[in-house]
Amino acid sequence: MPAVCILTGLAVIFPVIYCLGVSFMSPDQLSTYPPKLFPNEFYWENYKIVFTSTPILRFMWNSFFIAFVCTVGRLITSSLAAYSFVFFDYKGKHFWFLFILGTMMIPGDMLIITNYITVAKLDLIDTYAGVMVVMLASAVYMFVLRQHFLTIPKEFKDAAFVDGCGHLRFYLSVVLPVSRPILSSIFIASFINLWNTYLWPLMVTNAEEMRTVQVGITMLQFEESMVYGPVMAGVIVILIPSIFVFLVFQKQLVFSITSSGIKG
Amino acid sequence: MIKPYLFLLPCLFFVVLFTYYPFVKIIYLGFTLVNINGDPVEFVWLENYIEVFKDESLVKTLLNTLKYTVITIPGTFVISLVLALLAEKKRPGSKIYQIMFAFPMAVSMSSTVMIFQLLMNPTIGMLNYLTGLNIDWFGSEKYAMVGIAILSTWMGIGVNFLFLLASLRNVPDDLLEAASLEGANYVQQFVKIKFPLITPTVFFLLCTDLIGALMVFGPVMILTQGGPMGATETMIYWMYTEAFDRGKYGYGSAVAVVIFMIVMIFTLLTFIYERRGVHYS
Repeated sequence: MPAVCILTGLAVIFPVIYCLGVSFMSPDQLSTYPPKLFPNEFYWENYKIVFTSTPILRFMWNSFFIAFVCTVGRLITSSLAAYSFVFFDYKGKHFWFLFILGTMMIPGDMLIITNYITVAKLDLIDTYAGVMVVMLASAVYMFVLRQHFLTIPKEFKDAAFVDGCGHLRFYLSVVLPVSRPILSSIFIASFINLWNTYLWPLMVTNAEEMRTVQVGITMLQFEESMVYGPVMAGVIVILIPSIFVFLVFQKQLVFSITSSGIKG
Repeated sequence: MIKPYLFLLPCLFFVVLFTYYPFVKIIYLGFTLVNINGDPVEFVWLENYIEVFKDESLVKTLLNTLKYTVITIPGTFVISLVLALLAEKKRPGSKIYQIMFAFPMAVSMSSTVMIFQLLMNPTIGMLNYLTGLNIDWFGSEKYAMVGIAILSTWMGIGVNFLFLLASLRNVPDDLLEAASLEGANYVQQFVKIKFPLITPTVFFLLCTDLIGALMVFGPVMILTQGGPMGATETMIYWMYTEAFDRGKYGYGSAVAVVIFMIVMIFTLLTFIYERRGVHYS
């Protein structure tokens, strides 16, 4: 039984293994028939080509910067909003909560036309800000954090306030530290998600040096004719960060899925 | 007291500016003619919408998208469920294949597309070689959409697997033990106990995957640009070409709104499944 599982697992990850194999193949090995799975030896030229004749390092920096800043931004906006819904009592609370959740009903891809017009009018095309500005809030993460904050015992808040702590202090020195597990889970999930976004960065950037890694990798195919070796090498390069995060932070990723509250 | 609203403000600001405002605006723009700068210049009432419903692209892209959806949704679901059932029992080393089954979620859409472009190459691609087929996947009208559906199915396996695994493991052991004591075999246990108890997750996945499938765009943009001969032109890709290739922002907005309504209808249909088939414990 476990053997079946391992074999199935290998079948599932086959595309990535194949990609890795091809990235080390020389052009003649690639054009043989039947197609080979593994190269005879490690042909490092493909990686050299990727690093020297494409701006892949710049792409990676762009993606990293955008993913990092937006994830931090989302954590800030979501946690502040979640705090507002959990630790305050006010009339519009329920309405605004549903108001923000309501955005989950609107598919983002539908809004690219009007968001593009907005960003163009603000003169933010081809800027980091232009890419980042639409991804700084998230209803899903706000919901997850709100659910989580609800589990913080009331005594914490009562004790802190009796000691003269205000809301901001309480948020910064109690709520956030106590929520570190879920915050880091969201950080990881959001970072991967933003590292992988394609459509919006494609729309909002034209200049090559502003392109992100996901957009850039698809444009490598227009150099000369289709050169699979270097393209697969490029794919491996851009996969390394997300695979690394995926493997190392397995627990947190699974945690962020199971605490989304979907039961049953 | 304005304090709660101060905490709320950052989130609200971005949500309004980049979700609700564009949503309202795109509905409004659908009723206008828009110039290159994105400014509405003339109010044309329902002209755009009438043209959308008369446009043969509407039915064509809807059918293409449905062709894609009926392959991807069941495909991803069945494969993910099988994988979740395989990995359900925790054994020494089960972590390994658990990670392998969830792996596709770590691979971005762009990466998947570039890899599958090679895998599905008609002459040197592994897929044709291993299956003995001789299909020009992205070059044939008949199979291009199927090809995209195949790669999307692979992409969806990771996340669907993880959700189904979590919900399967949530099924109380004593229920299953009691059933096997009464003589129920594996299949009966699955059909009568396990599956009903995971239906909330199934519904959630079905709903979110369906919306994602109906709005597919990325692979089309990178691989086929709607071709060959419009065989892979999906609804959102059509919206994109109207707005950004032809510069018809107003018409594109009307298309976007119509697509939204179609997606809403399908979403409501899944809620019928929720009524009928979902068991909440």
